[in-house]
Amino acid sequence: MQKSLVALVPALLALTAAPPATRARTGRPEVTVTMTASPTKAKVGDQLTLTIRVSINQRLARRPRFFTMPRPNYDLQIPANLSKDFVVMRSAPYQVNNLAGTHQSYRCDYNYAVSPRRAGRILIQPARLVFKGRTYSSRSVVVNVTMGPAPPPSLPGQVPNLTGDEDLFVHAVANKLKAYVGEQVTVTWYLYYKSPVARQASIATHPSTDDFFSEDIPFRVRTSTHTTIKGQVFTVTPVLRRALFPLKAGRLRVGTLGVEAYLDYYQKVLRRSAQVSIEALRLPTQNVPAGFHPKNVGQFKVTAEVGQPRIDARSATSLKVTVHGTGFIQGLKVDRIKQIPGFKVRFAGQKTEMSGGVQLGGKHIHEYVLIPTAVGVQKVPPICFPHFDPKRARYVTDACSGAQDVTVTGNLAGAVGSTLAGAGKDNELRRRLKPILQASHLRNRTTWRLHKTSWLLWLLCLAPLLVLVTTVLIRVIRSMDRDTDSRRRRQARGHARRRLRLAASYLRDSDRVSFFTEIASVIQELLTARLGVRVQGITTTELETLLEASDMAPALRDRLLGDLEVCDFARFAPAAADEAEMQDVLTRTRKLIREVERARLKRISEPAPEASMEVVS
Amino acid sequence: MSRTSWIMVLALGLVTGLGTSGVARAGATEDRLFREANTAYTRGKYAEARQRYEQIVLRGLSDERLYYNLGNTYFRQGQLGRAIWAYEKALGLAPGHTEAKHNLTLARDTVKSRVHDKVIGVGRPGRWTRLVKHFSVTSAALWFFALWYLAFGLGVTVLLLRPGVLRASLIGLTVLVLGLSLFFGRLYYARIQVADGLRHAIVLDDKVPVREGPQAITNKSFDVHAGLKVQIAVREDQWVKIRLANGLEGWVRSTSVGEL
Repeated sequence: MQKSLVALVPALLALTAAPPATRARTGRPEVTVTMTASPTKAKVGDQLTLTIRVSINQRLARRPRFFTMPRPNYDLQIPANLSKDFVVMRSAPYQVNNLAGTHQSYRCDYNYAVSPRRAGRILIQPARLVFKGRTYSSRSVVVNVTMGPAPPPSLPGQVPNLTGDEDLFVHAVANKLKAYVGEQVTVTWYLYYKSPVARQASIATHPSTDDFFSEDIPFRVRTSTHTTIKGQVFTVTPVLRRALFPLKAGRLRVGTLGVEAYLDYYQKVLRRSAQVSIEALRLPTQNVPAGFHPKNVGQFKVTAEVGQPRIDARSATSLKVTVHGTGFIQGLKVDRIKQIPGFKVRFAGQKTEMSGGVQLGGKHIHEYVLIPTAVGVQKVPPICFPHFDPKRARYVTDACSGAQDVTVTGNLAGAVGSTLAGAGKDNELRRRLKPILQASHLRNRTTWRLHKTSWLLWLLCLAPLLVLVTTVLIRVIRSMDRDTDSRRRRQARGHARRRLRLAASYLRDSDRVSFFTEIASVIQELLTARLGVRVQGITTTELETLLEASDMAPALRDRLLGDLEVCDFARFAPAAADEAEMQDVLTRTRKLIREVERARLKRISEPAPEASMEVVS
Repeated sequence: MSRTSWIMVLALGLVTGLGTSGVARAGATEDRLFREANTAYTRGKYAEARQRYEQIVLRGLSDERLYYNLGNTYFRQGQLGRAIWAYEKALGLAPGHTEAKHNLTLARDTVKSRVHDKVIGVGRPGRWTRLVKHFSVTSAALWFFALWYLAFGLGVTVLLLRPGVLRASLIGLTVLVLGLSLFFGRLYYARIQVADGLRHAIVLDDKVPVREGPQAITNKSFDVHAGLKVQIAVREDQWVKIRLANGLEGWVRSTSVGEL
């Protein structure tokens, strides 16, 4: 009997926890509330996802209207301690609502991105849901939170000091506040903020580090940490890291860093860090080793490497001296090797290789060419690099390379001679005084300048004078080209003289017709030029009238008309005139021309219609 | 005479007129002294050579080869200030004298290796001053006259041309060239002012005390050393007032400096 009761208990339990569909079919809504956290193990500042899932299956009283999807009306109460123990960054609900006839299947996931505020075992209390007067609860969830990365190192006096409700500030942290000149001090600037929005920050102003040699040290991974100041949790993100090497002793200041960041999505603010004061100590003045240079501060080692330990006397080998370690590698002063017994030393070059990491360092390499000057086993002695070690606060004199052996083989007498001639000995070609100059005859250069003579004025005036003369000439030429009365008279005179010469030639040839034609033309052209009226082709009576109108003296007029008649007669009866008469006509005509030119005659304007008719004809 | 010949004569006249010097042949005595000095120099008798060269200089002869050889003699005797002065004189007579330039540089470098006078606070001259000093008197004159005649030549061409596009363009060009020639005329004038207004000298002795007044009893202001080029402000009896490039002034004995 007892056994059968024991078997019934699970069956009864299974009945109470019957599948939802089974219960929904009965008319009671089937409601479940679950809460999960992922992951359940985290560090302070990590981000977790808390999901509260609400599932409701129910049968509706009646079929909803077309296109309407009724949402179950419930009230979800999130765990009371969630915002206390976690920073709730965002929430995003996701719901699925299915309807088949009157059967509704509804599910909604409430996803919260949260970040634990403290370390320890945090119990997230159950979420509660009130639906149709009944309350449903989820199970509680436990999250194990451990501390995250260590907060930024804070030396005494470097702890951020909150004066109010700062949500965002910049804090500078130096890894040491006292350092020797040339020793590295690393200063890191951190951004402290509450809102995750502030993570998108940018540097507005860089700190001034004038008294230091500075080198920015990049962050490989910019890890954020969390810290609690006066009960407030801040996320701390490094912004800038800089290695500083003090260049002088005394109290040196590192300037402020300005960072622009968002307080929320809309408010951008500028925050500045405080100045950092570094006390730079002088290097000890006692026990300073010989050959020490004040910039050689750090932890260094020296290695020397010979290229070929066995060489022929005709050839050469290389020597590579490397100073490596941590410290002010860029400012390192390494003395060059001047001489090594058995070799002529040539400096071939130097280079500096920086290494990464928070502590700056690297290699400083000098390369030499060793030209043998002796055969046999030659020793390259240890090469030392005296420097100051700030960690041990003393000078290091034993940083030396090991001795190296170089075996030089072959005949030195012939080999060294050729080597030295080719490479070992310089043929120095310095500037020398140029020799004196020879001259059979000296000259006496008497200096005189143009501006001290009257030539300057002449040269200045010559150009404008040339222009002036040209202008005058042009004006004269143009005026001569103009059609005036005197010009016409000149032209007529010229024509008359040419024609008379022509007539004289006809006279010599006894060409009577041409002679008298020329004489007549001479007289007519002259009269045309003087009277301004064309006289060729007019009758003797008309010509007489014209000459009267021009106030020509009657005697001259009669002689002119007479000569013209003689010419007309002689042209038609050439045989009537002998040479003497022709000579007489020529002489008279010359005289007549002179008299006509001298005579004061009135110009007679030609009647317009006749002139136009003449042009037409 | 053809037009080309006239132009050549004019150009030649211009060049000789603008050029720095007229040349006259020296007398037989000077030539003999010069040859003797050269022989003494080549035999290493620098004192004798110097004496001969200086005799020629005192006879009033100015030849760049004479000053150059004298400079070499001073150099050999270790008198670098005087050597620099002699080379500067040679370059004044023949600005393109390669040997003198070379030896002057060498002398100046040697002086620098001993004591170098660093004149502090020399202001950078203005653009116009730098431009003026960029040209020599001759080059400024050549530029001016070339542009001057070009402008008037273009003017004549304009007068001969009939109105048209070419004439209008030429008028513009003429105005431009005339403006340029006036600019160079102003530059030429400024260069003449600089050349005539400034007298320079070289400090001859190795160390010369510069005093506050033209008397040996006055306080010493500062020292200058051989080879320094100074400006002569005033000359008074046996003293000259020198002025450094930064405006520092003082009096030195006239024998301590060699005027260029």
